[in-house]
Formats: sequence, C-alpha cells, structure tokens
Amino acid sequence: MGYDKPDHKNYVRGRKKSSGEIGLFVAIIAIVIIIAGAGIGYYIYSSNQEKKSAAAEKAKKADPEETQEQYEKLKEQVAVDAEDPMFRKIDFEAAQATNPDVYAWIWIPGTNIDYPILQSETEDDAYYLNHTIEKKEGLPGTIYTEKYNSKEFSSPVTVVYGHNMKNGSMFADLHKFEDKAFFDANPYVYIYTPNRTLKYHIFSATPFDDRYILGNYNFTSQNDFEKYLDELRSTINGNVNMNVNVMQQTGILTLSTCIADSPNERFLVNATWEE
Amino acid sequence: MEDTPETRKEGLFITYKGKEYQYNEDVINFLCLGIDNSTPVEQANEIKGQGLADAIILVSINVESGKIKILAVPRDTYVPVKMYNDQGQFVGEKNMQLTLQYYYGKTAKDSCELMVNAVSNLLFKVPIQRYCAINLEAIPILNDAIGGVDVQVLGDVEVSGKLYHAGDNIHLQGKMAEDYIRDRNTDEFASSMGRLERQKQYMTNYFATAMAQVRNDLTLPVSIYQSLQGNMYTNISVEDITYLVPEMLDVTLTAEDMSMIPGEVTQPDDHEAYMVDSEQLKELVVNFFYTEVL
Repeated sequence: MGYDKPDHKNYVRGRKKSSGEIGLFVAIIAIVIIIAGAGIGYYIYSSNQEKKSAAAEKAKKADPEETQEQYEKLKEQVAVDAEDPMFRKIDFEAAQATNPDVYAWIWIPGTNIDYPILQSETEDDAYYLNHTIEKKEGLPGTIYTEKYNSKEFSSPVTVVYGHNMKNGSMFADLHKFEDKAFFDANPYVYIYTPNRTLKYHIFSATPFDDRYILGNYNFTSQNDFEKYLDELRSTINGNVNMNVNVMQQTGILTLSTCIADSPNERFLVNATWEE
Repeated sequence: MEDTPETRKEGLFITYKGKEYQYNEDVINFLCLGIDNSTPVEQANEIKGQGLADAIILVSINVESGKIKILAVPRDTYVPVKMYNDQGQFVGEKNMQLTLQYYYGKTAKDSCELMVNAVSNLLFKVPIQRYCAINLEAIPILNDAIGGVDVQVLGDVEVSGKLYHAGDNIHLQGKMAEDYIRDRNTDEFASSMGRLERQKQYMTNYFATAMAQVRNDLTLPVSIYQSLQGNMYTNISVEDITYLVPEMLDVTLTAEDMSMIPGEVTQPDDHEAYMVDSEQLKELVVNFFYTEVL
C-alpha cells in the first residue's frame, strides 16, 4: 500500500497542487479578462471619444450647402420685405444673436445676393474670408468688410468681400453683371444698417487686378479717389454707366469676388450712394 | 497675391472678348493739342482759364517698326471732365465736351496733364507718355518752317477772306494755314467734323512735306522746336527729338494710318456733343495699341 499512500498523498498533494494551479489559472484568466476588458472598454470608450470629437470637428467645419440653408432660415427670421426695398426691415437684434459681428445687410435685387455683412473688431481682417457666420472654419466664409471701413458706410471707398461659390451662393452672382443687359436692368444695391437704409447706383462692373485696394490708395485724398474711379470706369472688358455721377461725398461701394479661372484677378461691382 | 515679378506678368495685359492682348511697349504716345488762346501759352497762366483744346490728336510712334499712327479725338467728345476752382481745388466732375478739360488747369502744365488723363481714360487707360500743346500763333510758324503746305480743298472753306470750293488747290502760307484748319461755320450742324477732316488732310500733307525737308536737313525738327518756344508747352525734350528723328526718316503717313474716335454728333443743349460708340472704340483701341497673346 506503499503505493497508496504516496498515491493518496500524491492525490491529496495533487489535488491541493492542482487546485492551487487552477486558482492561479483562474486568477490569470481573470486578470487577462480584466485587462482585456479594460482594454476593450478603453478601446470602446476611446473610439467613442474619437467619434465624439470627429463629430465635434465636423460641427466646427463649414459646409457651403448647410450654411446656405441657414442663411435662408435667417432671412425668413429677420427680414421683413416691403414693396419698396427702401422700406424693407432687417431685425438686427435677431441677426446678431447668431453672431454679434453682423452689422449690416446687403441686397441686390435680381441676384441671390441677400446676406448679412460682418466685420470683426478682434480677429484678423481675413478671418471671415474663411469663417462662416457661425464661426465655423472654411467655405463659404461670410460677406464681410475690413476694420479700415466705417460700419456706417461713411468711408470714401468701402470694399465688401464675398466668395465666388460654385453653388451660386455668396458673391457668385456678381458675375451676372458681366452681361450688359443684366447690368443695365439691375442698377441698384441696397445696404441696411440698424440706423438706416442706403441705396447705391451701380456704375461699373469690371475685372480688376488683385491689388489690395484699401492698402494701395489713400481714399481720403481726392487724387487717389479720382484715380481709382477713373480705373473702374476705363475698363475695356467690363460694363460702365457713365451717367452716374460719382463723387468722394457719395463714395464708392466696391463689391469684390474671385474669377474662377483667373486667380490674379478680381471681379468688382462698383456703386455710389444715391439716397 | 504678392506683386512680385514672378507672379505678375510684365507689361500691360487686357482680356477682350475672351482673348488676351498685350500692350505694345514699342509704341510711344504723344498727345498733341491745338489751343484756342492767342496769348502765349506760358503767359496764359496769369489769365483766367487756359483756353480750350480745339484740336486733340494722339500720335503713336512705334520706335521698333518706325510706323506712325494718328488718332483724332473730336473736341466735343463727351467725357467726364474734372473741374477745379481758381485755387486749383477739385470741385467735381461732369460729363462735358473734352475741349473744356483744358480750361480747368491752373497752369499750362496742369491743363496738359488733365487732358492726358482724360484722353487716357477715354482710351481705356492707354498710356500717354508725352504731350505738346501749341497755340494758334504756332501754326503759321510750323507751316512756314517747311516752306508751306499744298492742299486740295475738300469742301467749302474760307481762307484769308476768300471762299474756296472742293477740288481747288491752295498753297497754304502763313495765316492761311490757320484759317484752313480752323474755319468752321458754327451755324451748320456737325461743322466741327468737316473741320476735323481738313485737319487730318493738312496733317498728312504737312507730314509728307516735312519728311522731305528733314531728309535734307536733319536739324530742322530741333530748329522748329526752338522756334515754337513761347507758343508751345510740352514735356517733349530736345533729346526726345534727336532720338526720334533718325528713327522716323522712312516713315510715311497715309490716310489709312489716321483714325477717328467712333461716335456720333448730337446736340444735348446749346452745344454739340460727340457721343462715343464705346463698343466700336474698344475694337479700335485693341487693334491700334495691342497685340494678341498667342
């Protein structure tokens, strides 16, 4: 029975040993499971986080179509149309709830151009070239002016910028003024501010080089003003109405956009204050 | 966006009807003005107004090909005229006859520069490098310096109190030249256009006679230039002349080299106005001053 004992012992020891091994095994499994679980958990957690931040990123990135829809909604919300464009009302308080940098509104009857104008006091001047009204980065940007221009439209020359969007939004419709018949039939631009409504008469629509207009001239100088005016009217490939009297006092409103296949040129529609 | 030579093409480019054109840099443009003010041009500074620009002619010389072209601008061409007061302050702008722009200069220099700007604007910013304003006194001097000019009369014209008819031949001397290019019946509608035709004819004949004379005596242009002092205001220098004369010895001037701003005479008020046909003018300017970029 000498076998039994050791067998028994062995058995007992074996049992003991084996139960200890199993415990260790279970522990290891458990640890593996825990670690794996934690890993998976972390993975799930982190991938969720990634999804969340991607969604957050997406929310911050601008989308031209979406932005245009929002503009349509905003227009419905803040614009009260009237038979005479001079009596159209814009609810600036409501518009400024979207972005306090909204300070004016532009409408050109006969075109899609019916947008708020923004100007940032704190950001770089090119900020709104690349940020929407909701401050999302990217196209279509906004219709904007630089801080060198008075928000009362009292500068001798005010330059308003807007992208030439493929979907026809923003300032794309300025290109309609390349057509002489359209130019003749749609002569007015309306600017609304919280204080008043300004009617501008279009006198020139022309391709122009890409020089930085407000930096190239000192428009408080009569000479510089006349020089710019002469250049806008002496265009061989644009449209001009020589019967509009343009003075420093009535100023020039220059609406500037890009030309699709000509990166070194801009297309300018120019008007002067009439009433 | 930067204005570096790499990003900006050298020279003046325009796109017209979908094609790209470059301004021909070999061409120098001279704006020649005949001033209706019989006081010496330089003394005119003291009297109010500089007078009127009665004859306005753009002479384009291609120094490379030696070709010369002349563009006549009717004096009544309706353009935005920049107005200045006696102190030389800008007071505004009004669509008026181009001839009036000369009046608003405080000095002959101002007047010439205003005319250069107005004509350059009219021609879609064609650069005008030189100008030359002569008054009426200069005409007999210029005429007689080359021994007088022969013309065959184009239509009824009064010269030295005598009426000539189409086809008559006259050898113009002294004051006769002035009469021939200035006579105008103001009672007759568009009479300044008939005068413009005579001015073109006189110029062609003058040029042919002058060229023959200059080939015999290369110093003639400089002596004419000097004889005009007091009756001329210009930014053309003697150096410019001595540079240009040898370049131009073989130049001929024919009627085809002369053009006129396209348009039509109307009468918006008491005075006639010449309304430019701007589409035709664009065509003319492109053909006259630019070459297609291929």
